[in-house]
Amino acid sequence: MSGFFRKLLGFVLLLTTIGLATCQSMLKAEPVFDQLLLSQSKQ
Amino acid sequence: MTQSQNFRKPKRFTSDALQKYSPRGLLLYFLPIALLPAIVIALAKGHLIAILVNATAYTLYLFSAWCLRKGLQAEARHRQRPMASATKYPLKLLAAIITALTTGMLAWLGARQTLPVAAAYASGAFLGMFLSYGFDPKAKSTQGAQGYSGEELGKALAESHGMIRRIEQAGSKIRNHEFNNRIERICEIADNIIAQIEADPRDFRRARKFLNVYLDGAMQVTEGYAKTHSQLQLGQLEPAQLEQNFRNVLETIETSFLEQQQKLLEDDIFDLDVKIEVLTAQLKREGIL
Repeated sequence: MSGFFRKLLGFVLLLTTIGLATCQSMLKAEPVFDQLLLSQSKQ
Repeated sequence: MTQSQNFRKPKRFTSDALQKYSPRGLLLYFLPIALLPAIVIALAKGHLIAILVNATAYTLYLFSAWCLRKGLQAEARHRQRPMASATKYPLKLLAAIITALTTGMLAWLGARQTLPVAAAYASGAFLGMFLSYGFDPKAKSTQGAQGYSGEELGKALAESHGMIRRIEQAGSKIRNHEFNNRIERICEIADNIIAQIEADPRDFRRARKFLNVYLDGAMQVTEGYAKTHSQLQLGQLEPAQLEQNFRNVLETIETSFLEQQQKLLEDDIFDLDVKIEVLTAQLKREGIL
Protein backbone atom coordinates (compact mmCIF):
# COMPACT_ATOMS: atom_id res chain seq x y z
CA MET A 1 0.00 0.00 0.00
CA SER A 2 1.49 3.33 -0.96
CA GLY A 3 2.23 5.86 1.77
CA PHE A 4 -0.46 8.24 0.55
CA PHE A 5 -3.30 5.70 0.68
CA ARG A 6 -2.09 4.40 4.02
CA LYS A 7 -2.23 7.90 5.50
CA LEU A 8 -5.58 8.58 3.83
CA LEU A 9 -7.06 5.41 5.30
CA GLY A 10 -5.63 6.33 8.70
CA PHE A 11 -7.13 9.81 8.43
CA VAL A 12 -10.57 8.42 7.50
CA LEU A 13 -10.43 5.95 10.39
CA LEU A 14 -9.46 8.65 12.89
CA LEU A 15 -12.08 11.04 11.54
CA THR A 16 -14.78 8.34 11.72
CA THR A 17 -14.03 6.89 15.14
CA ILE A 18 -13.13 10.08 17.05
CA GLY A 19 -15.66 12.18 15.13
CA LEU A 20 -18.51 9.72 15.77
CA ALA A 21 -17.62 9.13 19.40
CA THR A 22 -17.40 12.85 20.21
CA CYS A 23 -20.53 13.85 18.23
CA GLN A 24 -22.59 11.01 19.70
CA SER A 25 -21.39 12.00 23.15
CA MET A 26 -22.57 15.56 22.48
CA LEU A 27 -25.95 14.30 21.22
CA LYS A 28 -26.41 12.18 24.34
CA ALA A 29 -25.57 15.19 26.49
CA GLU A 30 -28.37 17.14 24.82
CA PRO A 31 -31.21 14.83 23.76
CA VAL A 32 -32.92 17.78 22.01
CA PHE A 33 -30.48 17.37 19.14
CA ASP A 34 -31.48 13.69 18.88
CA GLN A 35 -35.17 14.57 18.73
CA LEU A 36 -34.51 17.31 16.17
CA LEU A 37 -32.68 14.87 13.91
CA LEU A 38 -35.44 12.26 14.33
CA SER A 39 -38.22 14.73 13.49
CA GLN A 40 -36.31 15.91 10.41
CA SER A 41 -35.84 12.34 9.20
CA LYS A 42 -39.58 11.62 9.68
CA GLN A 43 -40.52 14.65 7.59
CA MET B 1 30.12 49.50 13.92
CA THR B 2 29.83 49.71 10.13
CA GLN B 3 26.59 49.58 8.18
CA SER B 4 27.32 46.06 6.89
CA GLN B 5 27.79 44.80 10.44
CA ASN B 6 24.20 45.70 11.25
CA PHE B 7 22.86 43.21 8.70
CA ARG B 8 23.20 39.62 9.76
CA LYS B 9 23.05 36.55 7.62
CA PRO B 10 19.86 34.52 8.03
CA LYS B 11 20.16 31.69 10.52
CA ARG B 12 20.72 28.23 9.14
CA PHE B 13 17.37 26.53 8.79
CA THR B 14 17.65 23.18 10.51
CA SER B 15 15.08 20.41 10.37
CA ASP B 16 14.40 20.97 14.09
CA ALA B 17 13.08 24.41 13.24
CA LEU B 18 11.14 23.02 10.31
CA GLN B 19 9.55 20.32 12.44
CA LYS B 20 8.61 22.89 15.08
CA TYR B 21 6.26 24.55 12.60
CA SER B 22 5.10 21.41 10.78
CA PRO B 23 1.30 20.92 10.86
CA ARG B 24 1.63 17.12 11.23
CA GLY B 25 -0.20 15.82 14.26
CA LEU B 26 -2.35 18.94 14.73
CA LEU B 27 -5.44 16.96 13.60
CA LEU B 28 -5.72 15.39 17.02
CA TYR B 29 -6.13 18.82 18.60
CA PHE B 30 -9.12 19.65 16.36
CA LEU B 31 -10.96 16.31 16.03
CA PRO B 32 -12.39 16.21 19.56
CA ILE B 33 -13.62 19.83 19.41
CA ALA B 34 -17.26 18.62 19.56
CA LEU B 35 -16.56 17.69 23.17
CA LEU B 36 -16.45 21.36 24.17
CA PRO B 37 -20.20 21.97 23.53
CA ALA B 38 -20.85 18.55 25.10
CA ILE B 39 -19.10 19.72 28.30
CA VAL B 40 -21.01 23.03 28.28
CA ILE B 41 -24.37 21.25 27.79
CA ALA B 42 -23.58 18.72 30.53
CA LEU B 43 -22.60 21.59 32.84
CA ALA B 44 -25.80 23.49 32.06
CA LYS B 45 -27.91 20.44 32.75
CA GLY B 46 -25.91 19.46 35.81
CA HIS B 47 -25.05 15.94 34.59
CA LEU B 48 -21.97 15.16 36.65
CA ILE B 49 -21.08 11.89 34.89
CA ALA B 50 -21.34 13.50 31.45
CA ILE B 51 -19.16 16.43 32.58
CA LEU B 52 -16.51 14.07 33.94
CA VAL B 53 -16.54 11.75 30.90
CA ASN B 54 -16.38 14.53 28.30
CA ALA B 55 -13.86 16.70 30.16
CA THR B 56 -11.58 13.72 30.84
CA ALA B 57 -11.81 12.60 27.22
CA TYR B 58 -10.98 16.09 25.94
CA THR B 59 -7.98 16.39 28.28
CA LEU B 60 -6.71 12.96 27.25
CA TYR B 61 -7.07 13.81 23.55
CA LEU B 62 -5.04 17.00 24.07
CA PHE B 63 -2.37 15.08 25.98
CA SER B 64 -2.28 12.47 23.25
CA ALA B 65 -1.88 15.19 20.59
CA TRP B 66 1.00 16.71 22.58
CA CYS B 67 2.71 13.28 22.86
CA LEU B 68 2.22 12.71 19.14
CA ARG B 69 3.77 16.06 18.19
CA LYS B 70 6.76 15.43 20.49
CA GLY B 71 7.12 11.95 19.01
CA LEU B 72 7.06 13.33 15.46
CA GLN B 73 9.70 15.93 16.35
CA ALA B 74 11.90 13.23 17.88
CA GLU B 75 11.44 11.12 14.76
CA ALA B 76 12.62 14.01 12.58
CA ARG B 77 15.73 14.41 14.75
CA HIS B 78 16.31 10.66 14.57
CA ARG B 79 16.20 10.76 10.76
CA GLN B 80 19.07 13.27 10.86
CA ARG B 81 21.11 11.35 13.40
CA PRO B 82 20.25 7.61 13.26
CA MET B 83 22.73 6.75 16.03
CA ALA B 84 21.06 8.85 18.66
CA SER B 85 18.16 7.23 20.46
CA ALA B 86 14.98 8.79 19.10
CA THR B 87 13.10 9.31 22.35
CA LYS B 88 13.37 8.28 25.95
CA TYR B 89 9.76 7.01 25.82
CA PRO B 90 7.81 5.64 22.82
CA LEU B 91 5.70 8.79 22.52
CA LYS B 92 3.88 7.92 19.28
CA LEU B 93 2.87 4.52 20.62
CA LEU B 94 1.75 6.19 23.86
CA ALA B 95 -0.34 8.69 21.85
CA ALA B 96 -1.97 5.84 19.88
CA ILE B 97 -2.83 3.91 23.08
CA ILE B 98 -4.27 7.00 24.81
CA THR B 99 -6.32 7.92 21.73
CA ALA B 100 -7.67 4.37 21.41
CA LEU B 101 -8.59 4.06 25.10
CA THR B 102 -10.15 7.52 25.17
CA THR B 103 -12.23 6.85 22.06
CA GLY B 104 -13.38 3.51 23.49
CA MET B 105 -14.22 5.12 26.85
CA LEU B 106 -16.09 7.96 25.16
CA ALA B 107 -18.09 5.59 22.93
CA TRP B 108 -19.03 3.43 25.93
CA LEU B 109 -19.70 6.01 28.66
CA GLY B 110 -20.41 9.15 26.59
CA ALA B 111 -22.21 7.81 23.53
CA ARG B 112 -23.65 4.83 25.52
CA GLN B 113 -22.65 2.21 22.96
CA THR B 114 -22.32 -1.43 23.96
CA LEU B 115 -18.92 -2.64 25.13
CA PRO B 116 -18.10 -4.62 21.92
CA VAL B 117 -18.97 -1.56 19.79
CA ALA B 118 -16.83 0.65 22.04
CA ALA B 119 -13.96 -1.84 21.60
CA ALA B 120 -14.42 -1.57 17.82
CA TYR B 121 -14.16 2.25 18.10
CA ALA B 122 -10.96 1.89 20.13
CA SER B 123 -9.45 -0.58 17.62
CA GLY B 124 -10.36 1.73 14.72
CA ALA B 125 -8.73 4.72 16.43
CA PHE B 126 -5.58 2.70 17.19
CA LEU B 127 -5.35 1.48 13.61
CA GLY B 128 -5.96 5.02 12.36
CA MET B 129 -3.11 6.34 14.50
CA PHE B 130 -0.78 3.62 13.27
CA LEU B 131 -1.64 4.14 9.60
CA SER B 132 -1.46 7.93 9.82
CA TYR B 133 1.65 8.38 11.93
CA GLY B 134 3.33 4.98 12.40
CA PHE B 135 5.20 4.08 15.57
CA ASP B 136 8.47 5.29 17.07
CA PRO B 137 11.70 4.45 15.26
CA LYS B 138 14.27 2.39 17.11
CA ALA B 139 17.78 3.71 17.57
CA LYS B 140 20.12 2.15 15.04
CA SER B 141 22.08 -0.47 16.89
CA THR B 142 25.70 0.46 16.63
CA GLN B 143 28.52 -1.92 17.24
CA GLY B 144 31.21 -0.73 19.56
CA ALA B 145 34.13 0.67 17.67
CA GLN B 146 37.66 0.39 19.04
CA GLY B 147 36.74 -0.14 22.66
CA TYR B 148 33.68 2.13 22.70
CA SER B 149 30.17 0.74 22.99
CA GLY B 150 27.40 1.92 20.69
CA GLU B 151 25.76 3.65 23.66
CA GLU B 152 28.96 5.54 24.49
CA LEU B 153 29.31 6.64 20.89
CA GLY B 154 25.70 7.83 20.72
CA LYS B 155 26.06 9.74 23.99
CA ALA B 156 29.32 11.42 22.95
CA LEU B 157 27.87 12.45 19.60
CA ALA B 158 24.70 13.78 21.22
CA GLU B 159 26.86 15.88 23.56
CA SER B 160 28.83 17.17 20.58
CA HIS B 161 25.60 18.13 18.83
CA GLY B 162 24.56 19.97 21.97
CA MET B 163 27.86 21.89 21.98
CA ILE B 164 27.44 22.89 18.33
CA ARG B 165 23.94 24.21 19.05
CA ARG B 166 25.34 26.19 22.03
CA ILE B 167 28.03 27.70 19.79
CA GLU B 168 25.29 28.72 17.33
CA GLN B 169 23.21 30.26 20.12
CA ALA B 170 26.16 32.21 21.51
CA GLY B 171 27.08 33.32 17.97
CA SER B 172 23.59 34.69 17.41
CA LYS B 173 24.14 37.10 20.33
CA ILE B 174 27.23 38.63 18.71
CA ARG B 175 26.37 41.54 16.43
CA ASN B 176 29.31 41.31 14.07
CA HIS B 177 28.84 40.12 10.50
CA GLU B 178 32.37 38.72 10.13
CA PHE B 179 32.23 36.77 13.40
CA ASN B 180 28.71 35.49 12.62
CA ASN B 181 29.93 34.12 9.29
CA ARG B 182 32.98 32.47 10.84
CA ILE B 183 30.95 30.86 13.64
CA GLU B 184 28.39 29.61 11.14
CA ARG B 185 31.13 28.07 8.99
CA ILE B 186 32.68 26.43 12.07
CA CYS B 187 29.30 24.92 13.02
CA GLU B 188 28.75 23.62 9.49
CA ILE B 189 32.17 21.93 9.43
CA ALA B 190 31.57 20.46 12.90
CA ASP B 191 28.18 19.09 11.78
CA ASN B 192 29.90 17.49 8.77
CA ILE B 193 32.56 15.89 10.97
CA ILE B 194 29.91 14.43 13.30
CA ALA B 195 27.98 13.11 10.30
CA GLN B 196 31.22 11.53 9.09
CA ILE B 197 31.73 9.78 12.44
CA GLU B 198 28.10 8.61 12.46
CA ALA B 199 28.60 7.13 9.01
CA ASP B 200 31.78 5.35 10.08
CA PRO B 201 32.08 4.96 13.89
CA ARG B 202 35.64 3.66 13.50
CA ASP B 203 36.64 7.32 13.10
CA PHE B 204 35.46 8.01 16.64
CA ARG B 205 38.74 7.22 18.39
CA ARG B 206 40.61 9.61 16.14
CA ALA B 207 37.95 12.28 16.50
CA ARG B 208 37.62 11.92 20.27
CA LYS B 209 40.17 14.63 21.01
CA PHE B 210 38.48 16.89 18.50
CA LEU B 211 35.18 16.46 20.28
CA ASN B 212 36.78 17.06 23.68
CA VAL B 213 39.23 19.85 22.91
CA TYR B 214 38.18 21.72 19.78
CA LEU B 215 34.43 21.79 20.27
CA ASP B 216 34.63 22.52 23.98
CA GLY B 217 37.21 25.25 23.33
CA ALA B 218 35.12 26.76 20.54
CA MET B 219 32.04 26.71 22.77
CA GLN B 220 33.80 28.35 25.72
CA VAL B 221 35.44 31.05 23.64
CA THR B 222 32.23 31.91 21.75
CA GLU B 223 30.08 31.99 24.86
CA GLY B 224 32.72 34.04 26.69
CA TYR B 225 32.97 36.55 23.87
CA ALA B 226 29.17 36.77 23.54
CA LYS B 227 29.03 37.79 27.23
CA THR B 228 31.77 40.39 27.00
CA HIS B 229 30.41 41.61 23.64
CA SER B 230 27.42 43.19 25.38
CA GLN B 231 29.84 45.05 27.70
CA LEU B 232 31.84 46.15 24.65
CA GLN B 233 28.73 47.73 23.22
CA LEU B 234 28.17 49.57 26.46
CA GLY B 235 31.71 50.95 26.20
CA GLN B 236 32.94 49.30 29.38
CA LEU B 237 35.84 47.51 27.72
CA GLU B 238 38.47 48.30 25.13
CA PRO B 239 37.12 46.52 22.04
CA ALA B 240 40.00 46.46 19.54
CA GLN B 241 42.36 44.05 21.31
CA LEU B 242 39.58 41.71 22.42
CA GLU B 243 38.08 41.59 18.94
CA GLN B 244 41.49 40.83 17.44
CA ASN B 245 42.07 38.01 19.94
CA PHE B 246 38.66 36.55 19.20
CA ARG B 247 39.30 36.84 15.45
CA ASN B 248 42.63 34.98 15.86
CA VAL B 249 41.04 32.19 17.86
CA LEU B 250 38.14 31.79 15.42
CA GLU B 251 40.59 31.64 12.51
CA THR B 252 42.62 28.95 14.27
CA ILE B 253 39.53 26.96 15.16
CA GLU B 254 38.14 27.14 11.63
CA THR B 255 41.45 26.04 10.12
CA SER B 256 41.77 23.24 12.66
CA PHE B 257 38.23 22.04 11.99
CA LEU B 258 38.92 21.93 8.26
CA GLU B 259 42.16 20.05 8.87
CA GLN B 260 40.36 17.64 11.20
CA GLN B 261 37.82 16.91 8.52
CA GLN B 262 40.54 16.37 5.95
CA LYS B 263 42.56 14.14 8.25
CA LEU B 264 39.55 12.00 9.00
CA LEU B 265 39.17 11.48 5.29
CA GLU B 266 42.85 10.73 4.85
CA ASP B 267 43.18 8.48 7.94
CA ASP B 268 46.27 10.44 8.98
CA ILE B 269 46.24 9.85 12.70
CA PHE B 270 49.71 10.97 13.75
CA ASP B 271 49.54 14.39 12.09
CA LEU B 272 46.11 14.94 13.61
CA ASP B 273 47.34 14.36 17.16
CA VAL B 274 50.18 16.84 16.64
CA LYS B 275 47.73 19.49 15.37
CA ILE B 276 45.53 18.95 18.41
CA GLU B 277 48.49 19.54 20.75
CA VAL B 278 49.29 22.77 18.89
CA LEU B 279 45.68 24.00 19.17
CA THR B 280 45.48 23.08 22.85
CA ALA B 281 48.61 25.12 23.49
CA GLN B 282 47.19 28.09 21.61
CA LEU B 283 43.85 27.96 23.41
CA LYS B 284 45.75 27.90 26.72
CA ARG B 285 47.89 30.83 25.60
CA GLU B 286 44.76 32.83 24.70
CA GLY B 287 43.40 32.06 28.15
CA ILE B 288 40.50 29.94 26.88
CA LEU B 289 41.40 26.55 28.34
